[in-house]
Amino acid sequence: MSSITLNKQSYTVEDNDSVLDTLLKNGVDYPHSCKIGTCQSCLTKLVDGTVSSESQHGLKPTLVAQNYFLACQCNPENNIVIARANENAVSTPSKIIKLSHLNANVLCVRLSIDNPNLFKAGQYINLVASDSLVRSYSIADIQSNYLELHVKLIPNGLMSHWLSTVAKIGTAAHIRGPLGECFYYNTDNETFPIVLAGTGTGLAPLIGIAQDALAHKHQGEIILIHGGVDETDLYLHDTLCAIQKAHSNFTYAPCVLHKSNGIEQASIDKILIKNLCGIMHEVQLFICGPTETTNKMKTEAFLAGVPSASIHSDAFITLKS
Amino acid sequence: MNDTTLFERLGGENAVNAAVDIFYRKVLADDRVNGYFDGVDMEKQIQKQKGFLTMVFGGPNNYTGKDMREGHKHLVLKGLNDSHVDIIIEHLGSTLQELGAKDEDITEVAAIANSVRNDVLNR
Ligand SMILES: Cc1cc2nc3c(=O)[nH]c(=O)nc-3n(C[C@H](O)[C@H](O)[C@H](O)COP(=O)(O)OP(=O)(O)OC[C@H]3O[C@@H](n4cnc5c(N)ncnc54)[C@H](O)[C@@H]3O)c2cc1C
Ligand code: FES
Repeated sequence: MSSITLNKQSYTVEDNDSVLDTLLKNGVDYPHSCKIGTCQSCLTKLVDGTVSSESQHGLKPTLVAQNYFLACQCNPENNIVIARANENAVSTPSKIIKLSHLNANVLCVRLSIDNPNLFKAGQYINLVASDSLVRSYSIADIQSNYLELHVKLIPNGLMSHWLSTVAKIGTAAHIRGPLGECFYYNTDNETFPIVLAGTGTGLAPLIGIAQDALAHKHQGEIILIHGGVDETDLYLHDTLCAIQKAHSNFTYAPCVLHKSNGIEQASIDKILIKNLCGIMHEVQLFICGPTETTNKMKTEAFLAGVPSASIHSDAFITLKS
Repeated sequence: MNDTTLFERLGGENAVNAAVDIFYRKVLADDRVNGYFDGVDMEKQIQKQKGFLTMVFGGPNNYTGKDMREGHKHLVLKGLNDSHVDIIIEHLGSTLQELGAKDEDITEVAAIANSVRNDVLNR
């Protein structure tokens, strides 16, 4: 049986447990969220021993070179010594410069940055609140000195709690990343149509990508579909209406599940398929947000005829309790 | 003609890329088998299907019998059987037909797919 040593404490690995499982079972407060190798919040440094290359899958080469791996993807076959990620080596220091409500349960969070060129709207970063609390958030906006995130507050959520009660203007945090392939990309100045669809804070990366396309004077049509349970979920309704007014090639298509005045009542996958009609083969499609709706929309768009290579997406995979 | 491999005749990697969407769409639209793909991430699936198509097209691949067994164990527990493998081979054939492959080549692809049947079904 192999063992894991962290901070001079050793833990025995049982059965097929991962490094992360072993630490959590032993009551160690260790950063994690998705447990499937996507969010990278469980980033860990190998101090001694060896880990499988699978546990380094998706990591940037610079992290691999420094012997980083993902604790949730590593089933150690020999004894290893590990350390928590050293934020000075893997992330950029930042400060919270704005915290405000976009609606009752969505926070707008602005984080200071020095180099905006590192990031692309639509990618995601890992926000590090402490050495045991790391969560992924998509980039809604990039300005010369800050990144903007939209965070849905979850009852009993750890980061939700930290952002709504502990964090203040000026509170220090770290930013890891960016990660992900979900962003505007059009080096040949083509005029393909862009469709973006998501519910809840899935809007964050989508408005980022749409604004980036408009800033690059994208000539094709851009359709942004935002879905909610009711109108209060459409937290950027006025902003999006204003963007639509200012740009003839931009359409905002809101939809809600509950009956509402003036806003289409339909499930978002129906609205998506309707908007894809006739442009299946040319469209670049962006889908983000809660895992279930995101996966459903992806599959339906694919079955309707959108090539898999034209579907770009980030599912907001959350902590499995 | 005889010195070209099946993979070359089908069109190599380009054929795999052309076939993967057509093939996977057929599989996902088929109620007899799509239950086995529930909840699997599409990007990951497309990557896996590319690996599978490369193998059955006779191309360079790293599949081992062990991978095949491990990868399908949980599906066998959920009831995966010969009839499902037949359906997959049927969709492979019609995908290749759509792409204009020759009958002999389609037969050869089906034979390769058949050769991993026992591994897939963990027998
Ligand atoms: C690539 C990626 C990008 C992401 N981008 C964003 C983003 O831009 N905006 C954003 O708001 N979130 C985003 N997320 C989700 C985010 O990382 C956190 O999972 C989320 O904010 C919850 O964190 P928490 O610490 O508040 O709750 P946790 O402490 O992680 O969770 C507490 C409990 O609440 C449950 N829970 C978590 N989320 C929900 C939910 N939505 N509804 C119901 N129950 C839930 C969990 O399963 C858990 O049981 C993204 C995730 C990924 C992987
Ligand atoms: S990558 Fe390990 S918890 Fe998400």
